[in-house]
Amino acid sequence: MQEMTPKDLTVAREICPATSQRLLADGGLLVDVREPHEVAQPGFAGCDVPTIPLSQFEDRRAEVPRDRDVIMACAEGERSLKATYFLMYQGYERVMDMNPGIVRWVQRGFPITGTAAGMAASVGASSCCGA
Amino acid sequence: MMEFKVLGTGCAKCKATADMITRTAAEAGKTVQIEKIEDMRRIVGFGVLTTPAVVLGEKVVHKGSVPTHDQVMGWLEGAA
Repeated sequence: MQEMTPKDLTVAREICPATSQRLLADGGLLVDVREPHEVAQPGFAGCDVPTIPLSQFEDRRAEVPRDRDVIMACAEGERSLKATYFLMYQGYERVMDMNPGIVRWVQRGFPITGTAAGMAASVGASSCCGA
Repeated sequence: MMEFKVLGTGCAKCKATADMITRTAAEAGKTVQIEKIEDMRRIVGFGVLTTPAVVLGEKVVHKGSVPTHDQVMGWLEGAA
């Protein structure tokens, strides 16, 4: 087992979808950590949205840039908060959590791919027991 | 006394992990202290993304599943 040094992480910055829109317009990056079966039902649209499922996040977190604002997102904000803290543990300083996630994004009428009908599959997905 | 921490946001597998450590320690005649850490910020502060996870002392010895009886016995016998 890899040796991990415990760190006292500061409280993560959490932002709403509306604030996310402003940051995205200023060059921020939205990263979707939902699992592949969730991302199309619906998906975030109107910006580049790389997908790194939480179940693959430890192996792929190097894909997240350190030199721009990064907004982590999922269905409701729980898994993305976990990913946010993980990046903070790894020394990322420009990372924040969108809370709530695509549920509120849809409610606010922001652009999506697909339809909101399949969103129920994502709601309630837990970050415990696995990634 | 050995000090364990069980990391997880409170699901059944996290409880099963704590129970496994308690049962195995009793079987081995070892005294253990188990602290359950359910706050996500503290959990990830150990560098852990997959839960349940087990910390012995300050070292993460297991993550991502309920540990087996043999694994716990190994930790109790100093094999961690």
